[in-house]
Formats: sequence, C-alpha cells, structure tokens
Amino acid sequence: MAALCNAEEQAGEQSMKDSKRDSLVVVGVLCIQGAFIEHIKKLKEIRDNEALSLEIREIRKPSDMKDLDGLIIPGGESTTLSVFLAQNGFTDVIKKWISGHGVVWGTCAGLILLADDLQGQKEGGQTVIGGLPVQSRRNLFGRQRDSFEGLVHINEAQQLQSNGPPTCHGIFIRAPGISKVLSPDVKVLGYLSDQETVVAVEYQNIIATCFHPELTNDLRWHQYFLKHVVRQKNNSSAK
Amino acid sequence: MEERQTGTPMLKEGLAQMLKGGIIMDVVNAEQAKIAEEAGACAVMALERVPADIRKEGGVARMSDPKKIKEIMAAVTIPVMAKVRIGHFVEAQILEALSVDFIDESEVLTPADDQNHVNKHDFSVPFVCGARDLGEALRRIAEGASMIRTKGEAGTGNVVQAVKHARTINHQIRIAKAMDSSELYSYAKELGVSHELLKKTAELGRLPVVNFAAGGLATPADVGLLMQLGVDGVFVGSGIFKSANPEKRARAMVQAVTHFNDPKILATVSEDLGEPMVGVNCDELKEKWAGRESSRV
Repeated sequence: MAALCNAEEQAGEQSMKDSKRDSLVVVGVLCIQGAFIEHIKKLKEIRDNEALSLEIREIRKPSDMKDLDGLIIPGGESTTLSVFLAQNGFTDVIKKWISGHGVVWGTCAGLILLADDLQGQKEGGQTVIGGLPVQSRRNLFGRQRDSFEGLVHINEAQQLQSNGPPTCHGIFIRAPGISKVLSPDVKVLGYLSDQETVVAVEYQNIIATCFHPELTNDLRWHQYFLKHVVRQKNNSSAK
Repeated sequence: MEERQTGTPMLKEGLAQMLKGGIIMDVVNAEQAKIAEEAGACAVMALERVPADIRKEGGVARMSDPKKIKEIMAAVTIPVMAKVRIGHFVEAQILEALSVDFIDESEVLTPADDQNHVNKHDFSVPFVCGARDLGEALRRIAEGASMIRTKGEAGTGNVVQAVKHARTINHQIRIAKAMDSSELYSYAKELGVSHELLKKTAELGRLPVVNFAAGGLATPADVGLLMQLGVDGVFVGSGIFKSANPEKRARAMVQAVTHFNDPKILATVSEDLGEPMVGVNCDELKEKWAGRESSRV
C-alpha cells in the first residue's frame, strides 16, 4: 500500500500524524489463536466510520505490547492461549501492563484468562492473567450442543450508548460463566433474561463478556471499549 | 419469554471461528489427549487408530468405540471431535448423542454411502468435511458443513497433496473473483455448485466458512507453509504421535501456527525435535483417500 503513495501524500500523512500524535490511540488484539480477525474488522469499521486516530495492532510477542493503550483478548481456546502465554513469558508482561492501567477487554476465553478465580480448569491447572475479581467457570453452559444465541440485557445504568436499545444479541459458544462476583466494585454490564446470570462485567480498566459481540453487527461493545481506552489515555496524560 | 436458540448456523460456524489459528491433533487415548491439551492444541480428534495405522492395517475403518470417545472427552477441557464415515448419518447421530463438539465426515474412514454425504443441516453439532477443490468445498457447505479442511493424503507424513488442495481452492476462488456475473453461472455449473454459493465466495474472496489444512503435515515448516497459503489453522494427524518426541513436536507445532510468518521463530522451534514420522511417497500408495467423494455423477 505504501508503494502506491507518492512522496507528497506521505509527507501530508506524516504531518497529520504529527498533529495528532497526542491523540493517536494504539489498540492491540491478541493474535495467538481464536477469533482475532473478527475483532480487528470491527475496530477497523469503527475507525473508518468515525475517522478515529487509531492504530490497530496484532499482538503476537511481548515486544508488540510497547506503547499499547488498549488490548482485546479474543475468544478461542483458553488452554491454548494460556499455554502459549506461559511458554513465551507473556503472561507477566500482560499482567504488569494491566496493573499499569492498560484497558483490556476479554471475550469468552479472554474472560477466562482475566478471572481471578477459575473453575473447571484442565487437569494440572492453567496459567491465567487475572486481575478481574470474579469467579468464572469454564463451559458453564455445557458443550457445543448447548451453545446458544439469546438476548442479553444491558444494565440501564451502564448503557453502552445513549441511543441504543437496552439489549443486545448474545452469542454464547462453549461459553464460560461468571459464577460469582468477588468485589463490590465489579459493575454488572449485562445479564440474561433470568435476571440472574451475569454475562458482562467491568472492573476498573477491565471489561469482560461471556459472549461474542465480534460475531454480530452490533458495534456498541467495541465502541464502549474504545471510549474507555480514550478516557483512560486522556486521564493518564493529564496527570 | 424469548427462547434460547441452539444449533444455529451462527453457533456451528462460530465454534469453527474460535478454532482458527490453532492446531487440532489426532489422539487415540486419554493420555495422548492430555499431551495434546498440555501442548496447546485447540481441539483433539478422538480416534481408535491414527491414519498411518489405518493404512498399515487395512480393513474397513469405522467410527470409534463410544467408550474411547467418552474417555477422551472426560480427560480434556478443549473441544473433542470425532469421525464418521462419509454418508453414515447414524454414526453421526451417535456422536451427536455423545455430545462431541464437532463431527468430521471423513474420507479417512471407509465410505458408507457411495452416492450421498450426510445432510448436515439435520444436526445441531457442527461438521467439518474434506475438500480437494472449490467445487467439493462448496458442495459440502451446501450440505451444511460448518468448516472445511483440505483432504491432503492422511497418514503419509507427506504434505504435497494438502498443498495442492489448498492452492487449488485459492486458485479457483481467484478465477471466480475475476469473472463477470454471466461467467459465474457457467463456472458454477462447471464446478457442480450453486450459483448463489459461488457468488458469495467470489464476493468474500475466500470460502464462506473456516478452512483448515489437513493431511500429511509433519513439521513446523509444513504448518508455516500451509498457513502462508492462507488456511485458517491446521489438523495434524499421525504427524505428532508417530514421531520420536510427540510432546516436543506438539509444542513446536503450536508455536508454528501462531508465528507462521516469522522464519526466525520457526527456525528456533524446529530445532532438535527428533525424528519426524517416516512418511511415504504418495505415488507409491496402494489406495488414495483424497478421491473419496460420494456423488451420483
């Protein structure tokens, strides 16, 4: 693509970058295994719609985390992700980055990796990142036959977007559950129609969903995450 | 009260999407399944015999003993797949009743119906099917397959057929993309597929479902090769547990599928893996499985 740009355009693009350098937001998607392309597509769609100054980065190695403002840990197999992260000394890098207030969003397997208390681990346990004070149970809803699509109610107080409906379509694939909330500071963002089953939460700089907004046409969850990233970046640069 | 929907195309194709960028390993018992999970496999394929042994021993190859499959399902937390013979919808019903996560309607087993494949729309569990070319892939998708894999030539340790099938599918998608709307009708007829599905494929510039490579992959370099040819992930059958050091090779293959584009990392993980499976030359095979497709024509 660069080859198509002439020098003048490149210079123009550079000066635009310079003027916006302060506001360039860098968001990464963990591209080890799973549905990472789907997340990247959603982020690109929002960037193009809203003309955001957003760099979308594929994260495969610890060194890719440099200057990152936000990170999405996608759905996939959580054991695959944990084995890979542990083998490459990657778990601690992400852990440290989150405790330094990097904004992270885990979908499905991502939620599993972020939970402080994980039930239903593989034999011998699995390495997790942690940081989110909830108890999560892997495959809470069952095996693939029990995977389901259904309505998720969005907590009114935490409306994702002022103009959106108070619900979204939830796609749960061998999904983990949030079986217990371990801190009063955990905000419930979404729950199922039984009014009890919590399926989306937020705690400080961590967002987690049991379902897959990246498989639907609803951009609100990605927009919500990006707003959080921008807010966090502005807060820390103001300090 | 709104209903929860299960077994929808979105959920079936969605599970395949979650497997992308991963390796699915053939295992014959709980112990191997644990090794695969420990190494970072994103799913396992539960079998009685790996393809290399099916080739050696001959005879009719059928669905595995449910007891074996249940043992493997109990041993690991990752998705478990199992194979049925082409067209054997009752074997598929049995696997669905066992709650396996994915069914492979596989040419590695002896076909049960020489004219028809399973109507996969009838099942709530997703199916993966093998394909040599675009026509075969789209015929399986029309029957309800939620995932495609290249057929390759399983049990050989020889990657040549998998490469051929992956390249053929890519090549034919490029041809379809370049065609105008009138040409697409003729091309659909030539491939033996519906115009609608071919048009969708041409618009997407890729298969409309997840596409893995399978059949003969034995080394991290093989994994890198197929991934660079554009597949979404890989199956490794005999290649791991027929090698000298399955644990180490399995871990290396997992690294390779993520870092497929990074030759330096591929070099590191390829080091000192011990003997790969011996492998056979595809020209010397008594029986080629890749040709197994059941149809009336």
